[in-house]
Amino acid sequence: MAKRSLGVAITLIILLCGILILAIAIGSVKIPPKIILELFLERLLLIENVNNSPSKFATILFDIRMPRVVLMALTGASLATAGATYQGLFRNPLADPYLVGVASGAGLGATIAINMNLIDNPLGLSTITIAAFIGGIITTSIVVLSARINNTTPVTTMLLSGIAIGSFATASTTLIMLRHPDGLQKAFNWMLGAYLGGGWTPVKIMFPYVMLGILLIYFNAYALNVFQLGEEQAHQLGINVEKLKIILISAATLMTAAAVSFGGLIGFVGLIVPHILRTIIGSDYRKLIVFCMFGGASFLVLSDLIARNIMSPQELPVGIITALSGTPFFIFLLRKLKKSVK
Amino acid sequence: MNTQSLQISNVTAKYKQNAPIISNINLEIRRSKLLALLGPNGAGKSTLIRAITGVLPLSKGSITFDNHDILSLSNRNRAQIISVVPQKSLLPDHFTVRDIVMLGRTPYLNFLKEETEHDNMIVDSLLSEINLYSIRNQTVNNLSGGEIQRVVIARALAQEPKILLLDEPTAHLDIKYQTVIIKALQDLASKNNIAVLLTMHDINQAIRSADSIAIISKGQIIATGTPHDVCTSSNLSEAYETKIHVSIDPRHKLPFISVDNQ
Repeated sequence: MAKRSLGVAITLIILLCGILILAIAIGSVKIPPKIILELFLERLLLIENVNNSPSKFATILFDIRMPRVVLMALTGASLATAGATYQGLFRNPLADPYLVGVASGAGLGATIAINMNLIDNPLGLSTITIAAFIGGIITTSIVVLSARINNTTPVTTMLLSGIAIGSFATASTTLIMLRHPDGLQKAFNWMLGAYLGGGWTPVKIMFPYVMLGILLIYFNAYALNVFQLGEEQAHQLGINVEKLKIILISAATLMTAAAVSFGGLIGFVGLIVPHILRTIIGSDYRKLIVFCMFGGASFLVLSDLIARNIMSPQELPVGIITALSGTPFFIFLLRKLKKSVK
Repeated sequence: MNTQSLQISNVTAKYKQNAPIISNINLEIRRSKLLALLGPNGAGKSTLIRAITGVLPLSKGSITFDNHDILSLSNRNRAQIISVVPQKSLLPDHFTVRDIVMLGRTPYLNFLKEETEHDNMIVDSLLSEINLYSIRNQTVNNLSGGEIQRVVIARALAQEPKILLLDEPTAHLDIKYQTVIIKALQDLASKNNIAVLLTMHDINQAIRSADSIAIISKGQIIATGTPHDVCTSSNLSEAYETKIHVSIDPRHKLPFISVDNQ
């Protein structure tokens, strides 16, 4: 088992590196590989003027493509890790940031920030993330509180209230967008995961949130294993159930908010990546969380690479690619599950 | 001579604003001994187990072990003393038998939550002892009812408890496995010096297997003592609200109960 995990880990890291290189190299403006290599050497070794390539290549490479690829990697890692965490917490393979309503709540927060022009303050773009986090936390609190029965949060009521409150948040988001037609295009683009401009700024804003979330989840991942026996058993095995639920829900919400605030509403990553990895490496969350980071990043960067190039020069929102590839895969998974049950 | 015991004194517990489910419970379970808790559905058997483990806070009373208040301990420290085999166990599909039993080591893991050689040794010796070693790498969704119950008991024992609470451990098992499980519990109690409390529905089986019996009815203990003293027609008929006859089983010289069909 240990050997297998190591094999999967090495494969995933090589895969991620390969996808990252491809994603940086391929785009609507063709840059020859030789020039890419030279430009990188230049930056890495601080050599000046190795080549005489036009400086627009350097701008495209370092200020447009690279930040976008890194942003997508962070978003994918966040959604997959948050998805695995929700699935573990609620002992439900279908739980993901969208089903528990968190993403919709974060989306509402971000829409309010974008449409009410709250960005024009010293915090700038990070206002979107903060608003998304507040939206996500409020939604989660309402979902958890309305689902609580006798000091416990049963999975069924939790998912039902997640769907209901998520729908409410989505409806409110649409309403706000319609009330502010001037910001409609902006909000629509953002929602489909097509937040473009900004260069490295979104990455810089997002990075600390994602790191904090990942560390909190990683150091508490073992508790997710024990949670699989049910909350009462987890309590009887010495786990401080309520405290860990708050830590893990906050961390997963933080990562979802960071992902939603710049990636928009990108579905299926949080559902499919943990599922595939679980069938390969098993359900030990101490491993699964780490693998989800790499797997989620690879999946979303690859989806974005396809989104940028399939109808080039027109770019598609990455959410369309994840949904188009995710849905058939999901049906395939369900059918396989049905067969194994038979 | 070991006189350590679990003392439950004047315990009353309830869910939120509702009326108490159990009230003024007094019980003592000695180490190395089995106490069977009998009573009809809804009498408060499972609630008492929840109260002992701190899942349900007490509104009155105290629970001590070796004169120490166990409810004031941290969850982790309490889990090193008490372990529970619940009535219904949720077992995750992807976990192997060994993974599940290893979860019993949770209260002993360090900050990084990594199992040590010592944890591996304890789990492997338990797996052999409870006859699960050959299926240790199977996932739990392929197991029979008897095997699952043994896995859950092995997990509880991996906690190295001093008190073991089992909620209907023999329900859903055929007669062979009922006997196997009860025999294993008796051996474990005396070998590892554990105080065992088990709730049961089969009164005759409780009489044959337990050192002492307590009868709970409507949240109160109505009798406690040896099977001979407790299992009388009047006690049982009162608790189960049905006419129960008690005779003496000539083979074991123990009380034997039967019920009229009318």
